[in-house]
Amino acid sequence: MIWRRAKKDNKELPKEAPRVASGSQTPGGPARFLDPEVLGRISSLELLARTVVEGFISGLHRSPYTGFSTEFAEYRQYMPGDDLRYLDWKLLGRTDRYYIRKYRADTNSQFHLIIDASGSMNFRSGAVSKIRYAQFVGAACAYLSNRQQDAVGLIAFDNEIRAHLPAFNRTGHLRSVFGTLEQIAAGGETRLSTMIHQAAERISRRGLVLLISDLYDEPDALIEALQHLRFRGNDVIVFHLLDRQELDFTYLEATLLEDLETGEQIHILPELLSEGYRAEVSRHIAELREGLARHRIDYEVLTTDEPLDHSLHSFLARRSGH
Amino acid sequence: MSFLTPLFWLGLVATAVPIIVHLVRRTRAPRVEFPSLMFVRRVPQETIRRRRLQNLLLLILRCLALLLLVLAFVRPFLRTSGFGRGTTNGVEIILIDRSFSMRYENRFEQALARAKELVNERQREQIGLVLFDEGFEVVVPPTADHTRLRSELVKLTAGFGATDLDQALRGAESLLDRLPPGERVIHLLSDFQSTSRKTGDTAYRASSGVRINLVKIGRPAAVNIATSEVIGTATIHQPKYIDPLTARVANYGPGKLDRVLVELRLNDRTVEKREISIPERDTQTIEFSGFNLNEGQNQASILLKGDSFESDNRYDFILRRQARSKALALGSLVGGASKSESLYLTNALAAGENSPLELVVRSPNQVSSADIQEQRLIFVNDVNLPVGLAEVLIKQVEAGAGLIVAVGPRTESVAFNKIFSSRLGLSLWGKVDRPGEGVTLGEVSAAHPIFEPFRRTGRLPTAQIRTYREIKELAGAVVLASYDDGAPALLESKMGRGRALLLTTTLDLTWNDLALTPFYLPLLRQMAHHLLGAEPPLAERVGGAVLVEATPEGSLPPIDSPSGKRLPSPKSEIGGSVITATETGFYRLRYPDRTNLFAVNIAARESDLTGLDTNQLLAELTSRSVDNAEMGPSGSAAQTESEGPAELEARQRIWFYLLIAALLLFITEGFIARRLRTSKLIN
Repeated sequence: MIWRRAKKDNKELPKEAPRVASGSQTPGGPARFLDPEVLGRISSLELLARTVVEGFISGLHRSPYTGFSTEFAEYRQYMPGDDLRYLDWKLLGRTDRYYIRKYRADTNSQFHLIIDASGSMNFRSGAVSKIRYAQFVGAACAYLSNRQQDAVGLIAFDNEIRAHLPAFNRTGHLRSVFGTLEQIAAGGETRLSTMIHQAAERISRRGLVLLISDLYDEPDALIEALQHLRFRGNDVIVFHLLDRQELDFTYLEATLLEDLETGEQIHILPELLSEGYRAEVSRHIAELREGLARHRIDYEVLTTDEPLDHSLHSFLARRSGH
Repeated sequence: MSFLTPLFWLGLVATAVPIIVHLVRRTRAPRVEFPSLMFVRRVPQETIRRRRLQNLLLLILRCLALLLLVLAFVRPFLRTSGFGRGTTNGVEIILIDRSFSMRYENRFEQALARAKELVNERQREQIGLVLFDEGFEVVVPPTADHTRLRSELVKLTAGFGATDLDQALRGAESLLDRLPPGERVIHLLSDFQSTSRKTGDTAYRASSGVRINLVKIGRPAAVNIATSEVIGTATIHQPKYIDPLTARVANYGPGKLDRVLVELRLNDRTVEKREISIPERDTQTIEFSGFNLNEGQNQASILLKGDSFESDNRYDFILRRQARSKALALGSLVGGASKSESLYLTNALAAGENSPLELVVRSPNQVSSADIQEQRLIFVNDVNLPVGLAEVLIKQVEAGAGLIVAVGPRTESVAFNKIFSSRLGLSLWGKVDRPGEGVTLGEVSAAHPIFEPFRRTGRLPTAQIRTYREIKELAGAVVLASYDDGAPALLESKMGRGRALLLTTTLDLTWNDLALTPFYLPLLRQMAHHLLGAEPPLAERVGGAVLVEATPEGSLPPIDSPSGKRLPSPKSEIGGSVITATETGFYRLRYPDRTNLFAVNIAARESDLTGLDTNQLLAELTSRSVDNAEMGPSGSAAQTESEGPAELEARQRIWFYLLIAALLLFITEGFIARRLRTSKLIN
């Protein structure tokens, strides 16, 4: 039903609206649900997250993520084909019955979602702004983590911490996370590295930390701040979220650029500036990639016109290693 | 530098277009929100600066190209290039033609503008400023004070006179002669009418060392008509004007003119209108008659309609109607009036309806002193006068009346000499008989007004004079005519304010057959007219001298010019003074008891706007051939600048080079712009 509605909605798009599509999508397949433009039409983040994750999971060949964690939950009778590692040998010795031990999901793991809600995240050249895309990715990852029985926490900031939900695994907490996430509005100026330091101080238990930001700060300061998170025992994933225009800088005419955070304005001649700008962005990304790799921090560059599977793959890959 | 079509300077607005586009594009750059300017600020600014410089260069190239394009369209030309133009470090005279023809199509204003350019083009030279027509007025003597020259130029106005180029050039050269030796140039600014130059020995030739720069003002005139002359009787003695009043209307243009309206006006009322056709460069004669005149002076005008230059389409003149003058003939009247010696005299002077005299014949004993005092002209026809009457007669003549004395067989020498000898300055002697064919008038003073008609016809009276009285001891009398044996025939003497004529033979047939010849009547009338005073002409010409009679008290009347200005009183001489007419129209002499009018018109030749060949003129002025007139600066003594602006511009063709330059600039601009665009696309 969603697919049909999305298709119908897609027809109503204005012609000049950028049509962003991923090469990995299969028209009519489940990956279609990961298209950010389509997802943008789903108003509920919970529904969105569920749609994304269920669709994403069902598209995988094997799901190694159904949990077998350390806390015992129940026994069930051994069936041929079950992994012998989970056979309860002691019970076999006492009762001579074959039972498989099933464990409750691991609630010791925490997942912290940190979202940059500064003014620059409001930018969009296509259908979806960066902050909206960050909400999609964050919601999907939170849902996925919750499904794995992880406690999910949320921190959003601009020039100060605007929202902070500590990580819990109780019923209804995920809904609070979605609600808070949905209410995040980007605005204001930020000093990103400083805010990461503050967020690191608020995360009391180690776990998995996902930072979604456009990372407009000096690479050294950012690496140092993320290192702070890493130092506190967290596994850190950084999604460097950019708009396609920020990467390609495809303006054609003389333009007056206005900084979304500071309001500063500057006249540019794109034909003169584009090349240098792209070089600067590439250097920035390269420095971040290299610096974060040194500290074993996962780093991915996402663009708002990409389907979400790329980000989810990255997240799950890290999550599996956690 | 001057410009042929300065209106195209408005095209300079076009050069503002690229600038405005540049500014508008700059100020209307769309505002776009961008996440962060962090990376934008890091881009090196040198590239942008260089591109801005390149854009500025493009802007300058575009503006310059447009400027050159506009400059090409205003058609610039140089007046200062070449010999005789620009600085000379010498003395230069600027001669400006102020004649009437310079009023045509603002030629005089053009001449002033050109004179100002000449002054502006010079720096240290001494320059003199002179106006001329038939006269010569030094406005500013040679001076290095060019500011004064410019300020004086503003005040000058065109006149009504005729042009005399030779006199003007002669005057300018005499001005230069008074200055120390050095380079001397005369700039002659004129329309160079074909009638403005004398020929023959009186024509001017430039002295060596004097350069003449001819500056032709105005373009060849197309059409002009004017009344060249009005001929008629200025004074009549009856209400109706019977004699034909003839107006000559000339077409000075190259084409035939149809429907030229000729109107005769009297005292600002239309009398008659005629429509005529005039062939090219021809004259048409129109006669008016049968109209009535008011008593006294009548302002008359011939008005023309048919061309655009209306300043010379009015010809003013004065027609007078006045009573006849009283004249008395004193004769013997032996045998009655019909057989007296005054019969032929009476018939000659009373003939015609327009006779100016009301002649009465009396014997001396029939007249009183009072009768004498009423007369303006008195004949003493072979009669001896009583001493008392003679004294009264002489007093009347000395008061201004005229006296004609004819001596014959009855005139006694002793009595005559006693009365007239001292007054007339001569002595009357006995008679001289010339038997056979007698003598004729052998020599006359042709310049005298009495003989004016005979001089025009070239024929002298051919009467046979058989006997005449001998005249001796000439003291004050002037012989106007002599017999072919050399004896005086007609003498003139001045007596106070009057004049007397003495004929040494009779006025009847006693001693000659003069009364039977065709010359008798005109001769007597000419003598009478001469003594009554010259009849005022119909009209005067600008530049002509007009006699202003003094009042009986000896003062001159106030004079109002046609434009209404009160003229400064001229210096009074005995009996009157002379003023020079400078305006066209009616002058008014305000006597205490009356107002006398005289009309002034331009010289007819001023209406002929046909131009001279300036090359030929220059050759004549410098006594060189036409080819030499085009010589270069080093060798010629004179240089023509007679080409008009259009000819100068056409010869120099500066616009062509400007267009080429503009085209090259556009190509360069296109090349640079394309390179920039290509590099942008590659980037």
